[in-house]
Amino acid sequence: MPVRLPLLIPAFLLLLRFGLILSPLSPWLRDDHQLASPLTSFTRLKEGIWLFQKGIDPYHGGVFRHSPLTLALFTTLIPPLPLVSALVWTAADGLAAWCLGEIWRARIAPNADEGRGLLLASLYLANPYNLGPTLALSTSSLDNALLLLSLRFAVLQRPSPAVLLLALLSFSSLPAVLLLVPLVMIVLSGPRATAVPRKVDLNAAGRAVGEFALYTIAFAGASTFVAGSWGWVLQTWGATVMLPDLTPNPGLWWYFFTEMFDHYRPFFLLTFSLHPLIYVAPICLKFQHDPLFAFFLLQGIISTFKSYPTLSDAGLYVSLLGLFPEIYTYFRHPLVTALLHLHAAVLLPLFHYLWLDAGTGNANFFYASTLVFGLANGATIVDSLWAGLRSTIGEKDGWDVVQL
Amino acid sequence: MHLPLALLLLLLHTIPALGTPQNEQFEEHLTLRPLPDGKVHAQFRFITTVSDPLKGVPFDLADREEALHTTLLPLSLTQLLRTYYTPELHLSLNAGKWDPLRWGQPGGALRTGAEMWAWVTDSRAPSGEGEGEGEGEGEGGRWQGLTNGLAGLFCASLSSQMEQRTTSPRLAFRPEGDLPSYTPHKLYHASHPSESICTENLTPFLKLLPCKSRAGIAQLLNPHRAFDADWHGMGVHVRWSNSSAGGETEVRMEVGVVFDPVRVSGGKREWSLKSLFDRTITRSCPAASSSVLTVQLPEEMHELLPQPAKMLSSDGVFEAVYDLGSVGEEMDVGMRWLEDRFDYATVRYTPPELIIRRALKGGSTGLSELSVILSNTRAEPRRVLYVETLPWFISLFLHTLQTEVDGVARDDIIQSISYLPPVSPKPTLLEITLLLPASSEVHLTMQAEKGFIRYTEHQPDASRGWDLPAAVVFPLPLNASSSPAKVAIGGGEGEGRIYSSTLLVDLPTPDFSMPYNVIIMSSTLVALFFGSVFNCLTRRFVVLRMPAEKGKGKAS
Repeated sequence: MPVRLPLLIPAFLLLLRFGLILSPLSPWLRDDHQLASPLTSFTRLKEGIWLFQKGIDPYHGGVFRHSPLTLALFTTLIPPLPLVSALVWTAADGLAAWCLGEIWRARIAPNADEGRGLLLASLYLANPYNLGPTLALSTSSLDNALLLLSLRFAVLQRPSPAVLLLALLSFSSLPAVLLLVPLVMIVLSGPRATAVPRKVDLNAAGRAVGEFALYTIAFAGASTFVAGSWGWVLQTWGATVMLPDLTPNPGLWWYFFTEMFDHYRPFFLLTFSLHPLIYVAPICLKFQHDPLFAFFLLQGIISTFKSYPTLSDAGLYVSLLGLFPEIYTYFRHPLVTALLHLHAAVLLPLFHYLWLDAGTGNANFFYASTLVFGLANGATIVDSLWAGLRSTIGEKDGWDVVQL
Repeated sequence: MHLPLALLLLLLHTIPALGTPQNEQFEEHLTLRPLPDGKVHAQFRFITTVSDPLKGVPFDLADREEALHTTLLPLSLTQLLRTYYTPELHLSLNAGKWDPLRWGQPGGALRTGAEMWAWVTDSRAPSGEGEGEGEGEGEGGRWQGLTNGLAGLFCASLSSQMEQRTTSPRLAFRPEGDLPSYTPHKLYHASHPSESICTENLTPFLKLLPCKSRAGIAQLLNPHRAFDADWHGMGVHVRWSNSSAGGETEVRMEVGVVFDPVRVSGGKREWSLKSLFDRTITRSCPAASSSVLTVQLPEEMHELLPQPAKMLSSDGVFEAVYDLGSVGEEMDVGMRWLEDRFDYATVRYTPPELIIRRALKGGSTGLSELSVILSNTRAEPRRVLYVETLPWFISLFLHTLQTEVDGVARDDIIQSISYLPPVSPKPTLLEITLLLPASSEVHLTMQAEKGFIRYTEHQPDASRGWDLPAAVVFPLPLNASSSPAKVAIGGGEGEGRIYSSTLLVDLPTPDFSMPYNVIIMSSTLVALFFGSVFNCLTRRFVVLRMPAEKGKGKAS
């Protein structure tokens, strides 16, 4: 069988990142605030491993905020050596890209050739939002791979591995729990859009949710066993909600809570934490006919509004957009959204440098660029939402569709 | 008429008998030490010892119901020690940078800024009496009460940011005296690198002395001159020792000043009490059982006036001793050299046996590098304990800890590491036991991250930066088998303990004028998004028939 040319592109991209991770570029990027948050930084992971191996509780201080499962994995199976890390992160990205291709195939063309799927995978690998965090060895790249793998199992209608992986993901990224509802819907009604919502087998849904709860409890028990106490809960899940570390990131939380009046802090922490929750029910109800689209929208909302996002969260959302070519024609303002993204992509590193390295700008510069980034992500989601709703109606000459 | 007076006299006479009888002794000692670079180090020591042959316990354990009478020690101090169950207490306030290369390492704490540490009785239930109420509750409360009390007594802002500064080292700062064995004690340590000493601290200090500044060597403590000096510091050290004659509490009060006569006289290093302090000793303190002035004699040719009554030699250093117990007329001591001008170029310094240098390298973002250099100039290996206390927003990455001996990486010199990661707002505590090879320079480097803190947590002068407290190095006995916890580290008047200089770190600051703007703008973004999504999800889609010629204009 001759080597197919399109396969060479993702292979090249994978090889490139393998090489780049081993290059001096990777240590230089490793502590960049946009690529690695306190919850996903590789430097902090190594510190946690060191403390753990020295018999000091890594969850005692505020330095280590990775999940105990990650800690267990990296102290036993994957030693944090340069070559091993390069392999693991390259493999994770490869897996994520492959899953994306598989999901595309399952949704659009089960029997067609793999050309477009490979294109999508290549786009995922070539996206600088995904490449950067991988080079910085941020564990958010591993989270993305976990999410896509879980989604792939859901698309193949295999509930157990899907919810197992989502439960695992919720330990490193708590907001992923919100994706359980659309995930179970995908498992039950398949990856494709249907004209009428299918009748949902409530028993099967209950089973999947029960399984998820069971896995979560089992993982929590394992985490407590690894960490030796319940201290990890406050340091990992608690950090997602309480925001104890105000290190800048491309998200909306850090500057808001740096500047927050102390007596309003609990109120706004509660508001910001609960905010993504209110979208779950309406979006899942509206997209009963297409749960994969609901999953896509909720993933976008989470990556925009989570407390410690990195660029890879936005990268995953943009990559998932490729699964829905039918909505492209219905975008209302694609040019504005694209320009906003471009604007943010230029401003974020620039203003970060001006504030913290050059010292010629202040914190407001970087804050402004995160606002633009938030606006770009929000505009993408809102536009996709409208286009997704509009595309179900279709076109007919002489007829138009309006919202009342 | 005479009867009430006689009764009153009788009553007055019996009061001391009601209280616990105390044997008190007060000694004062002034050491003048000409330094190689022409400066003069004056060290005042006022030592009060109170022994209680009846009970043999420190103040804090004495019966609470019983009044405590001391004639030489002021009530304000003894009451603090009693109320907060403190057998051992050290407070030092210093300003200026002590130069160990030129001035050597004499005993006493040389940390820049304020430092306070105490051993506080741990598990004894609070008595619930008068002043102990409220802030005296619990062990941490006792430490806080003690700090507040001392802050008030010495007019120093010791009690600000207590929680951010207090640590309980596991290996360092062992008691210098003894601790009563029948109750456990806990160590508290706090350092305030930006707090410095000034007149308002010295005035209350002098008030605690039996002769105030009216007689004895305390007469020389002229604030105008002391605070004009290159380096000045004061300290209060309380310790209890379980001696054979029953328990004994020692209160040692110290003032140290480094003068620069060369600067004052314009080129000559000759000095006298009159020229240094602008005062002389005119009267001896009658409360002092011993009052001594010692001048350490330099090796070069010099002339000392007046001729001392006694000469002593200790460790090869000759000392001239003047007894101030019976000062009749004005007493002035001076020293002259046979030279017209002091020449700095001819001075040879003998480096101290142990030197610590510390720096925080790196830009304002990303990781910085904490670099510590320890030099051992002795021709034999030494064990030392290196103690680092950092505020919670500086995170150390200990996995990056590297040790180099004379430029060659070596891991075997680290004998033990005790690490307490920072839990906001409590500080980091790092204690490393090191074996320094003979005549070597050891480099310790580790990466550190400067955190981002809330705008309310910044100091009022946020752009000035934060002072990081000095690192401390304790020499340990070479015998590694003896556990460091059991060895009296830092025993004997802080002898041998050395401090690094303080560091100033520049933290990234938010814009302090922005809270409202940020709340408004971020909330607007969230509201905009929510509104758009709500709008999209709730409004109905309707299909309309369009007349072909009118286009889409009507639809909107």
